[in-house]
Amino acid sequence: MNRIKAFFLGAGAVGAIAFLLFANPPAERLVKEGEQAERWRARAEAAERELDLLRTRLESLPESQQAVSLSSSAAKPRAPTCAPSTPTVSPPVSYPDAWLDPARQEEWNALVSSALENEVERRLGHTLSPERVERLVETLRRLRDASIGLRSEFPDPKDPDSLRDQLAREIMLVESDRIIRAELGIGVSDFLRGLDGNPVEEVFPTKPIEPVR
Amino acid sequence: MKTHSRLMLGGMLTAILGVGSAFALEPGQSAPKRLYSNGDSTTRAFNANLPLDNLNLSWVNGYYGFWEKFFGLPNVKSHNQRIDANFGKNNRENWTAAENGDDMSKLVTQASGTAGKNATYATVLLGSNDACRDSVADLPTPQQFRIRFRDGINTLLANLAPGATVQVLAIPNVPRVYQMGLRKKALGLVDCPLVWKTTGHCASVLSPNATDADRAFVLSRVMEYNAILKIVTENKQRQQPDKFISFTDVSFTYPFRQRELSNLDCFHPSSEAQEILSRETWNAGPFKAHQNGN
Repeated sequence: MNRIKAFFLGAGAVGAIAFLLFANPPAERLVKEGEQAERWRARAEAAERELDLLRTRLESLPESQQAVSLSSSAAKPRAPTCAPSTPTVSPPVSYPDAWLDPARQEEWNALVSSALENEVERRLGHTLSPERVERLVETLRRLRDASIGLRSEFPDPKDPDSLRDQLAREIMLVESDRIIRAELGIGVSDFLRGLDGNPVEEVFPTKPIEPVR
Repeated sequence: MKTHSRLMLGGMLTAILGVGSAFALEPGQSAPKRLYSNGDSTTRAFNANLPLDNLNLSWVNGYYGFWEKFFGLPNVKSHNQRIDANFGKNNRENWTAAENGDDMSKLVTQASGTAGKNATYATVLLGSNDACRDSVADLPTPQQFRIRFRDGINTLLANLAPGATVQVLAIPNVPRVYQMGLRKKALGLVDCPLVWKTTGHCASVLSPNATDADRAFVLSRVMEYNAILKIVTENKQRQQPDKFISFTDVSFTYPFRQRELSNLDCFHPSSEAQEILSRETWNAGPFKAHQNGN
């Protein structure tokens, strides 16, 4: 064996061992992989079931639906306190960008309406009427479109159309949040946080609202 | 025999390099997997994108999960996310004790929440609300500020085990908000000075009655506060060498631009500013060698 080969053989062997040792202990890793595969399988099955149900429900809805009300009542003071949760609707495995395809809008709607219904039931303990779900999903879709537009295009200060688009998106973002807050008592950020399984734990969650400076 | 020696040498070098890069912490330093933030509305990303709190966009506790991607929300690549990327997602904790409106006098209360949590990485970003009062006459004296910070950091350190890391951030340059917002419109519609007048945010700097002399006074006071934060933090590091305590002034010195001011209230940091704050404080902080997740 020449010197270089010997060096790299030794390096490779120890590197592989180090990777196996430090990435995860072998037993733990096998258990974890098994658990993860099982968890994702269960999530995929649950999501499929939900999507089937929702597809059926969406097909049964009348074509014209009540337009989004922009004159909802003022925001409620604060959402009911809820315990840290686990995600109520399992996200599908595919990367979310794939869901921005207009051809998949119906699936997007179905997933969001399912998440919305589950989260409202968990937080508020009641169910939403199909009409209300549809209205809120439409609001959330507008928020998504506005948010993506804001992040993907920088306004050109010399182009009035560009500035107008930017302004419209900003207003849509705020208005959508206001509608969700008026309907559910929580803003979109809090709503998504619940869906995510509460990734930030508040140390003092029951502290009363104070004026913000 | 020679071949055997080379095998050994190659293996040892690889082991040293591999383990070194994976665990490049100071000797005795714990991995920052148990994160705990102390702060005010900046840490809660108040009005950073959507109205009110946007904890997903917090420079320190922020997250970017499936649903945030699904709704096209911004990604600030927070310290929390960088910890995931550099130290793994297992056994993670992500706490915040930050409250909107809190000033340095609340650090004792916020820090007391670390008791029993075995936090391994704590951040402190407080003091903007000491500079933002109804009038300049209401600002705490440097002596009062020093005592409040010292008591707070003592509470925090008493609750942290050896090996824990603490990063203290300088108070941002609050008077500069005035300059940045003078020619900005909230949502592209309303002049920021009108928004300031309506919301009453940081009246000592932004109220129509505040003068340039007032703003100069607040700036000098912020600089005094920051000097106190630096000195006290450095003293604590000397007194408690088993913990890793540092201060950064990058949150004060970074030249934030107009678009990094909230489009909603012309006062709080926008999501872009939160992303900058995360990146700059991480790169100036104790884990700057860990660059995954940029």
